[in-house]
Amino acid sequence: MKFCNTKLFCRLAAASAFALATATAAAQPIKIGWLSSLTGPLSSAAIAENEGVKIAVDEINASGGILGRKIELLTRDTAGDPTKAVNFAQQLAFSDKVQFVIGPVNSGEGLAATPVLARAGIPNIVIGAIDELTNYEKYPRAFRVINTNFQWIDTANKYVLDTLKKKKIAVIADTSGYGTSSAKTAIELLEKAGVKPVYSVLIDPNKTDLTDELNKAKAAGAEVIMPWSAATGLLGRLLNARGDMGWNVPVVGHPALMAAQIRKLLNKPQYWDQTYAAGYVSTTYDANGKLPARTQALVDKVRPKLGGGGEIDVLFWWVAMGYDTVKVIEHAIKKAGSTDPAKIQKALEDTQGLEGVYATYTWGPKIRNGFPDSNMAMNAANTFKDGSFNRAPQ
Amino acid sequence: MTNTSLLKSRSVWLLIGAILTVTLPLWAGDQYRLHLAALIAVYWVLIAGLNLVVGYTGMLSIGHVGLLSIGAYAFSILAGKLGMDPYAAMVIAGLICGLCGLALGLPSLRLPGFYFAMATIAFSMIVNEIILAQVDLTGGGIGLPGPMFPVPFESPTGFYYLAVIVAAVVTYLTWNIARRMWGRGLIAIRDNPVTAQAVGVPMFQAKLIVFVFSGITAGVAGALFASLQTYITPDTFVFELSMFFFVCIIIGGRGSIIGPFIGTVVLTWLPESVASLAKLGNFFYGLLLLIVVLAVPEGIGRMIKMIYERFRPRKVESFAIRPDRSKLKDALTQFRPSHSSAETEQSRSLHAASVSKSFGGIKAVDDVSLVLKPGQVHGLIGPNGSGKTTMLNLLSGYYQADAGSINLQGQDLLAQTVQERAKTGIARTFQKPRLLPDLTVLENVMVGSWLHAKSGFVTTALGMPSVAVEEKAFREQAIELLKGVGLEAVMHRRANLLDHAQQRFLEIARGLALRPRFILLDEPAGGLTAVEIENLGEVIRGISDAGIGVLLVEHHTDFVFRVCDYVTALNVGRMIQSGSPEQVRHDPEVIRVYLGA
Amino acid sequence: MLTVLVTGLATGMLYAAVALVYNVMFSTSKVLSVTTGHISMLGGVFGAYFISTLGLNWVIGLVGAVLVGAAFGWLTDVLAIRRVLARSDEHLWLLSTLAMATMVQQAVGLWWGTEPKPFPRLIPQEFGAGIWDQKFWLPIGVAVLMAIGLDVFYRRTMYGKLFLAMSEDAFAARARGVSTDKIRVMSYILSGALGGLAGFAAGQLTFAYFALGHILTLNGFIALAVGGLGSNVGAIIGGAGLGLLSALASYWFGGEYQQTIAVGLLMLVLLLKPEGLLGSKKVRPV
Repeated sequence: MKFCNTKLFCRLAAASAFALATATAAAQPIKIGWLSSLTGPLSSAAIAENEGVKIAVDEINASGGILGRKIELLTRDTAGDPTKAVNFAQQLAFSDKVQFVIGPVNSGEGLAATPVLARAGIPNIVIGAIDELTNYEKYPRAFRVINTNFQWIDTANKYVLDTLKKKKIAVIADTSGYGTSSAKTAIELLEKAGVKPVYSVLIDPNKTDLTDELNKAKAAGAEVIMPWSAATGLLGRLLNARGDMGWNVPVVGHPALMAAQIRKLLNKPQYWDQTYAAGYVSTTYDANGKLPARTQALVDKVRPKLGGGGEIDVLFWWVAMGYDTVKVIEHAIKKAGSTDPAKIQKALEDTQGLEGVYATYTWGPKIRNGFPDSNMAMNAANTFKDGSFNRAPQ
Repeated sequence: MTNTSLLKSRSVWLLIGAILTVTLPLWAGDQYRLHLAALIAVYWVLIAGLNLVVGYTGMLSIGHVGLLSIGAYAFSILAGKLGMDPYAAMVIAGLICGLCGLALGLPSLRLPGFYFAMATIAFSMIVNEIILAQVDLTGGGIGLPGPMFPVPFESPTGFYYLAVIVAAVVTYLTWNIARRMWGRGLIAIRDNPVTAQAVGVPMFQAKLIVFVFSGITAGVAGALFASLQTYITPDTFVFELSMFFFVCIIIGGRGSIIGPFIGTVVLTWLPESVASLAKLGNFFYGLLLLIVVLAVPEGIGRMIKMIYERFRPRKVESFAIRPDRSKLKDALTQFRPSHSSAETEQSRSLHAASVSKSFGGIKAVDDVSLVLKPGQVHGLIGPNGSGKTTMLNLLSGYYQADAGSINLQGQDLLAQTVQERAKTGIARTFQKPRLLPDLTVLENVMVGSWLHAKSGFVTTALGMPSVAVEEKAFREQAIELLKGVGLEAVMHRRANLLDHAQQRFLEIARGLALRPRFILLDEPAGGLTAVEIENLGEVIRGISDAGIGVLLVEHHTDFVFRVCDYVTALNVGRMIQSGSPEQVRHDPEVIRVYLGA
Repeated sequence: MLTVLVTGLATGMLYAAVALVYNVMFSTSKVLSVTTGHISMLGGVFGAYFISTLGLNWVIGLVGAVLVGAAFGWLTDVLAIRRVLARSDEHLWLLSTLAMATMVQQAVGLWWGTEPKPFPRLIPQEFGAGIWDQKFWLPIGVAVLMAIGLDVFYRRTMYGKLFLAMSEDAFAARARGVSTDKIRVMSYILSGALGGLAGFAAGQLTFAYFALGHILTLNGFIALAVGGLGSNVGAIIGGAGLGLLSALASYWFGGEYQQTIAVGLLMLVLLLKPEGLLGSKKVRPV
């Protein structure tokens, strides 16, 4: 009898201890670090992504969190400074002991911070496009949600070569990390397709007048300009120079060409004509002027917060991507059943066809770039409406 | 020892600091804080070297981020791309930056303050341009990975110790420079370039050497920085970082090592711990700099010293200067090299023949000749504008003569700079005493011995025993000289706390520390009371007793006639009479233009 | 090619205007202020703010920009110069003006943003006007007018002569009863107004950009040093030369080494003729 009682007692004790433990664990929030350059260069992208992230976090917390645990978002403004990015990555990893890190946004910061997070073994959702940021061997827990730079460049190149059928190409990029690497990749891909650019140049993103460079491109016989820069200011000035010169060639390149800020920078609204950029199926209006259902749903949720109820004047894919990064984390935790980093890694490696707003993601044991080629599309910049676009003419 | 005196002891504080530094990985808390501590150490490697340039020599170099980036890239390319041993790469990176410092310093160091500052800013912009442009070498905008050091320094804790070791070495080197003759020479360049010249400091060379040294430390810091950050891009090396280094030193205070160190610690740690400050970061640095410049220009270092002195109050009593003529004579003869009997008095005299100098259309000195004999007190009098001070400046080298000759021991002095003339044995004082206000009286006198310090920059930095031996000798000589002029009681007082008369006597003592053959005194009696003038006379007599020639430019004619062996009178640039005091005093022309009835 | 020359000339004239501002400040205080370029930056940024953001008409925008420049000039004197000049340490003013420059740049960066924002069109004009675009001839015209205006000011007006007197010998001027402090403040306010005007005029060329301050301080200084400290004609020549050289160099060799070439010019001139092309040896700021 005593034995029975003890056993019962032990069971009860164990059960209550377990309940207590899970209850305390349940009370423990899931900490997600968010390295964002909210001030400084590329801040417009970061701010929009931030909205997406916040909406996702609020949504998840409102419905009880993940596995009963709420999300605690730790935002760190890196201001585009790689040293700050490294310091904050260290702080998030070792001081705040977060379970996940989203970002950084800029390539320069990403190149510096990703290795730090990798060494700390923290799962990192990568939102920088530069190809070197993912590597299943060097950074096994870094999973990319955004498309790769290669995908952008390839889509644009194919549009120019196959649809527009132009062969004399001018490649213009900025001197940042992103610009330098993109220009290199773009030229390599073009040459692989048998086309050598007639003119290529790297420009300081703060250069105010691009007439010289365009004149040189024109003199070299260019029929199309392909800019690879995320600096909206520079792209705006590029379009102005083209327009002021009266040079009627298409401009095809980086999605920042379609950003709403550009519209404000243009000397004349017509300067946005004949401007096409790599975009996404998820943010393209179909022939009936409708967005994919999931995108529309998010647009409706976001509109009161971003547009003040009115127009949304940022690239919507930024918001959608921010939203998806948190949803990916949610999916991974649910699939792994815990926040244990090794289990998270396995869960994401085994993820196929995860439907997000921005894209449908598939990773693998050796694959860290989750964005599908099928989601790429070419958009026409001057069809900007609420952050999404129509398809570029086929 | 009681508890309070233990606290006052500087070595105890240093020991505590050392223990905290060495055990930091244990109490820091987490790897992030360890990373910050390592970053502070790396910054300090650069700032310690830069401190000599900015804090001690007063050169406003705001472009050191350029040197940091060269060091970082050199290290990453050598150890990363080319696979060189990281230690060797770090050393070579340092040397490369030293060379760049030389290349920057050669054309820029002669420029006046603002020009020099702009040149350094421009330099850092050029470096940035070159890094972006040379894509194949530096990766351009993408940057390079920063190589790790081998075991045992590849872990975060290991790297921290490596950084601390390097920082400690650099601190030791700079501390040696700062507290010895080199440090005083640099402070002279900063606070009173005219004085620096007068004691023989080769201004341009000294600035260049220090600048190159700061380049080397910047290069080494760059290598460590690249390794710590594990990845470097051009975005990392922005002008704001130069400002940051600069502000650490300025708020830390000039002429101090501990001040800038505390500045570095506080300014690195503050934006990290107060997240809202991170955004305001650079605005905050600017604000801090402005506040310090307006309110406490001497920085934290000075404030610390002031607090330190408050715990050790020195009784500041007023006292009268009491020179001791025979002590002075002994002090001077003891240290002066004796001359060979082959030399005649003639050859040991200073001969100025038919010297002329014009400024624009005005002939300030017109065909004046005089001879200064060793051990003789030679007075030079005349009304205002007669050319007395001009003559003194011509003899000491501050002005170039248009015509005539000045010879000493067969050497043509006209071909010599101020420093070279100091080396030949000509010392001088100034109409308005030019002292180094931040140094003590004793240190001010020791500066005068600059030319006799044989220790070079490297020897001093390494702390070789010969340096301490020399230092001791100079200190003893200075004490003897101070006893001789009567300022021994205040030898540890800061020079800017002296009254006017004390400053004059101090300047004379400094001039004597040069072990000169001749000392030129520019109106030393100006502003002195009758008693003090008497004492001055004692001092001058003591100097001549020791066989040193004195040129006394003065307005107090009674004093001149009392104390001089020979007098020359000038008027409107020309010599009107010269001879014994009696002769000159009674000369009708002299009476007419100067003395009155 | 013509566009390259005109662009270079226009940019160079902006540098020349900054050099003129340096001269005015230096004449009465013997100080070379690091904030000089920032005054023009403020003129451009506030011009864009008043006209584009607040929607005011361009005349009010112009007046506003000039007033902001003047206010900043006055502030420079109050905070950075006045108390520092009283002390004898020569280089404190370099530190104080550097501090102010950093503060104003960062504050504007936080408020206005870090991207170059477009400056509004002042006079209705087609965008395809090529080399006759107002963004070129506005800064050129304003710089030339400033130089002429300053010359008239110095020679014909009482205050101008007082400025000259102070720059020759401040001590003597004070001995003659000139209130040198008041004159100095006036010169700072004047230079601030001129700087603001120059920045406003060049706004369409440079865009409203917070980081312009340092760039203009440095390049304006190069124009000043090349042309000769104290000479207004020299400032124009130095600025024009620098602008043309930079533009031609980046046209032929690509824009990557623009700053290197500009500084190369400076170093060359300083080595050959340290007081600048038209500077007087007397005025060397030793």
